[in-house]
Amino acid sequence: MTETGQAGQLLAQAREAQKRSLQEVANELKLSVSFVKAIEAEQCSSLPDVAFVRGYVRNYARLLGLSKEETQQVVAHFESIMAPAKDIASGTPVVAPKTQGPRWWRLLWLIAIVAIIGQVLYMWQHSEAPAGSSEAALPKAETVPPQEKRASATESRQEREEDGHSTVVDDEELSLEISEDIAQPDDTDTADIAEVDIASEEAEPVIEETPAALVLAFADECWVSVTDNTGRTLFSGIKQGGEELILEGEAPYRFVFGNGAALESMRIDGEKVTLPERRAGQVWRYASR
Amino acid sequence: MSLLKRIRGMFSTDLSIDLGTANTIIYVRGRGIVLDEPSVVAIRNHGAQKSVAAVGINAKRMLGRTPGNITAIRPMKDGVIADFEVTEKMLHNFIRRVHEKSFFPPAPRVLVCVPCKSTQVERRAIQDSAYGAGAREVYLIEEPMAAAIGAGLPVDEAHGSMVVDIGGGTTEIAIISLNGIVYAESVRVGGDRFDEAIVGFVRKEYGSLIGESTAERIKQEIGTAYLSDEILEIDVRGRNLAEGVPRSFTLNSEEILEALKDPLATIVNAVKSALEASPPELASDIAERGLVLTGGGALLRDLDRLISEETGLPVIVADEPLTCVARGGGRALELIDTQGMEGLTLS
Repeated sequence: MTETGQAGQLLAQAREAQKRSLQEVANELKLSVSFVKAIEAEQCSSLPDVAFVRGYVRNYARLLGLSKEETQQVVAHFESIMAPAKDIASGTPVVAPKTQGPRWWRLLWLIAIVAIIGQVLYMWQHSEAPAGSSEAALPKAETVPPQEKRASATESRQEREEDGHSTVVDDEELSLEISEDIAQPDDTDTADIAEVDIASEEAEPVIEETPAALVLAFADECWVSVTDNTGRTLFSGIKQGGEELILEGEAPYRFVFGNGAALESMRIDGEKVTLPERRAGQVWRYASR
Repeated sequence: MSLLKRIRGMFSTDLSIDLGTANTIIYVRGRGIVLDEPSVVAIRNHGAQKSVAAVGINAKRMLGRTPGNITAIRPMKDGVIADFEVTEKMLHNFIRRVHEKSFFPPAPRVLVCVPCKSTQVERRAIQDSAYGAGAREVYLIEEPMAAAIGAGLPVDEAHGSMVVDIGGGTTEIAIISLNGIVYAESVRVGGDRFDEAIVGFVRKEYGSLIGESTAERIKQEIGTAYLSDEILEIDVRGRNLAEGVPRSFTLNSEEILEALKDPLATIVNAVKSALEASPPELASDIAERGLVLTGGGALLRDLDRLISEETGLPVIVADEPLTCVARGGGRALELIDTQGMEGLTLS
């Protein structure tokens, strides 16, 4: 029933078939005759809101004894001519097109929240280990060019060969020595193995037998950098709590500790150095005499 | 408002809740009616401890059929909270159900409808229980206002609109103009009182006892408010009081009309006194356009005809009268957002 006037006509015809006058119908429905006329003529302008008209038409159809389907069709027709878009009263979602917007916003919010939480966690983790912050403060001490390291390794090897006894300085240097030895084509395999064995055996017993030039003991995780008189960086890296750092070099030494309080004790040439008060989590610089 | 609630609020939807005596209906913005369940909670007792056994339709099935350790409760009575804790639990369950897919616990903005003659204490109880159920913000709106908006009445115009909302516990009658209530009356008669009247009638006339659920079924199937040519019948089984055994008997719609006479008269009288109290300009608007019935009670057969005959005014039943209040509340939330119409709600 989409054609204009059809629904009103259906009602008017049904009324006339029952030989009822407009006045009679208006009295039964308790409506004014003008409203009933307007309904039959489908004059929306002289009728109140659609919510009322829907009810009037339904009551009118019931009075005339129209079937359920016919009533529904007539009501739907009046709804369509009076309010093209369905309103809240018909139960359809009112803000359906808007739903896309908030969903996007929610996704953005979620991403932002995750990013903030990630940032906070990152900062929190790094605030627990201030060594990291001192790393940032001392970029020069941290980066030692590999060539210089290699040079220092060969130097110390020469020194050891001259002295007749060797001191292991660092794991890195040790491995460097081993790899260099293995790479020598002139040496026999047995000699290689022997040398490697010696090198690996040297690592522990030698430290205990001869008093090292510099022994640092750590109570907590700490970034540390040690340079000797010649300006050579003896060590630059992180030591864990309970570890010892044993170095060989020329006094006086200059130290930088990322976490000053993490240093438990310091021995230079076998002598214990009395350490001043240091604050936890603070960089501590020290130069030996 | 805590920050956490705000964040959770971003993942929650605005709700309009018709916290009725008989049914709780939830309307979600953009999604329509998402929940329509009886306001019933089944509580299981473990000694001193209590836990919720079922909520809504599952709990309603248990009404009158529970073993000793389970009690099925209707926490709302006469449109207001009768059991605060159970109402809170029920609301919490319903709000959670509406947000089933969300990851965070929901913290929605909630608009709850309250009877217009409810006291400050009763309103506060409803507000607190919504907060307790996890709401971020709670607005209250008078039921007839929400019903009128839901029925599509032109509440913002300078025209009087009269709405009669017949709920489970109360009947709210209001005359509304320019987004405000000009006159409001609330009588504590509703669908429940109809059921009680049927139970009382059957006991008196047939000497048999029937339960509330049976009475409700009788009302829905053959209940009528106005004498018509069509007479309907229903077979009912109840416990005979004299013999003590279940007996079957047949009721017809005329008998039910007789049973409902008193509660219906109360409603009609309240409508008449509202019309008496209305200002003449608004009364003429109502006489021209008529009054609108909403709420579950409006579904009682020929109730509109009864009121129309008694008052001499056109009476129309709103579309989907059961959900009018919830939908109207949803629309009110939108109006608050888009047009800043805070005046629609109660402070």
